[in-house]
Amino acid sequence: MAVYKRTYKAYHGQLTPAWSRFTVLTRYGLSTLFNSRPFTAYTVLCFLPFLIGLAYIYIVHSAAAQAVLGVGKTIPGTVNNVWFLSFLGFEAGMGFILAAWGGPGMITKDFANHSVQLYLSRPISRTEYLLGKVSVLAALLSCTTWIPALVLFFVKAELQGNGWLWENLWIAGAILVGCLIWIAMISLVSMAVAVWVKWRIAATALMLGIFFLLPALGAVLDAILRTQWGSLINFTHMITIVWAHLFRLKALERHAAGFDVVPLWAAWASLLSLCTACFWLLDRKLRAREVERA
Amino acid sequence: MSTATIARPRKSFSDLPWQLWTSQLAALLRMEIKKTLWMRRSIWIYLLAFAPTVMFGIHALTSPMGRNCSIEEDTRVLAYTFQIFYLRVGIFFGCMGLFTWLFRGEIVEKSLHYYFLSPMRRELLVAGKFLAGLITTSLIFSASVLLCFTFVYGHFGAPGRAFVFNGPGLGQLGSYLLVTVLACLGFGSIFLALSLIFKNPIIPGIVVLLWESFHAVAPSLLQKFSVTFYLTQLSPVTIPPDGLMALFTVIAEPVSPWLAIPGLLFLSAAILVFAAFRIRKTEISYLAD
Repeated sequence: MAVYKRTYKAYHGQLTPAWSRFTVLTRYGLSTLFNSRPFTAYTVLCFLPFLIGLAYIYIVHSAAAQAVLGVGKTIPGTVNNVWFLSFLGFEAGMGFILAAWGGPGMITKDFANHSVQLYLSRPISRTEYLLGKVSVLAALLSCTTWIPALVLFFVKAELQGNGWLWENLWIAGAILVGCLIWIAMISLVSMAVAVWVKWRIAATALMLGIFFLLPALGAVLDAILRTQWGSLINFTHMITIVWAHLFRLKALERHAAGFDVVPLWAAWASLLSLCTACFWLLDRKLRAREVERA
Repeated sequence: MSTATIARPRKSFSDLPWQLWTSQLAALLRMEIKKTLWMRRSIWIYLLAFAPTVMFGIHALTSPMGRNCSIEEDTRVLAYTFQIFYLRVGIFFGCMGLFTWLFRGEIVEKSLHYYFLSPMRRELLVAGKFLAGLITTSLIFSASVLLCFTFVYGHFGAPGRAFVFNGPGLGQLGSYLLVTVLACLGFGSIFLALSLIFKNPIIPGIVVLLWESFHAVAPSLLQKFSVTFYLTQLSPVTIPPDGLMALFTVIAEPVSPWLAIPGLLFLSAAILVFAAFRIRKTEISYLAD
């Protein structure tokens, strides 16, 4: 049938249930991201720490593997809360690049092509639009952070036995909660900068600025004004402080790593302020209409 | 070999339209400096550069005549600010934003074809835009460093003046300004070239940032491929690494300024030559970025 004859014909096919409409955006968002071969390669690279961690846990628990590799008792460290915290820290760092690479482009393209209006003219709300886009990042970051970490946790529990799982089940909780906070923060920042600057390159640079430039500015503020509160704009450090409490690091360990420069409530307040600012920006800028200056 | 054979290239070199190129370069510089220095879009670079200056200003106001500090302490803080903020991130991000915008910005604004259609060599376009970026970033960051220096030693009164004019102060200021200009040159050339290669130069920029931040843990030979390595060597006050980085830092053999400065100049020149070759093959695509 010619296209012009179908112009005003109503759609009679099966409708996507209202609750899952945002997943259409997620599906297309993911497929667009993985069209890029470098991006796919980098995503695969993000699983490398997981494989190394898996091999490490296996070697720690296998006398045969130790004998074959000739490492014996020299293999360092134990797989405990600090180990999982370090693993998550590394994966979060790699995940940040993933989010900076893929996140802003998803929204800026819609703005650049004036297609936000097309999305929002369908039976989909602004929240669902945002949820669809955030879900792309959340799915990707989940696959590279808490899911591998939990797999490692259960592998460790299986190999260790002797009730290790029940004694340390709180670590699994810490992994899950810690990663969810981080994913929520990074996704919100990524979306907010994208709707604010509406140019992919600038949005990526701004994201980089928030997580690299602000910590340096905070450190300089601390040094010049002889204070500790400059760390509040170091959001990476703030989330690490929250993680350190979630992973029940001892006071001495927290002090040695510099995780006690500000109290826990201040770290939470800093993170919540960032998320609130992102929500405010998204609410203000993500509109179905746009006034363009001549 | 006859004299005519040797004389031919020299003659063709002198026959090149230098006067035309100079006037084109001057016109381009005027236009680009106006665009980069005074546009509303450039406000962020001023905020970035002058943020530490404001902090030093507040410090000078809250600690008049060095009431809560000493010259040694503030000298260390200034060196720390310069190396941790200006060298590692401030100038880096400033150059990333400004030099990336020189060509990518024209693509976003769909105006690059006006330059390409004008009767001007593309290499000259690269040189002109680079020089404009270099002048802008050098001016802004040097002014910021100069103001920081003034605030740091100005609020001590007579001892501060003695440190600057009768002590090592002026020499340190000269070194700070030289390193600032060299940093703008090094990072600027890298980002100009990246913006001509990649559609999104920020992603390789992350790799450059990570390399420049953590080059100290690499073997000493590899450290020499970092811009920050040379700049840190030229800085007048040394700041020892602290925290976790100190554990993994590999102390490389210091490089003499007579090698560091030409080394950086050579590196930047090589990158610019590459950019000049690259732009000859550049085709414009105004697809949504």
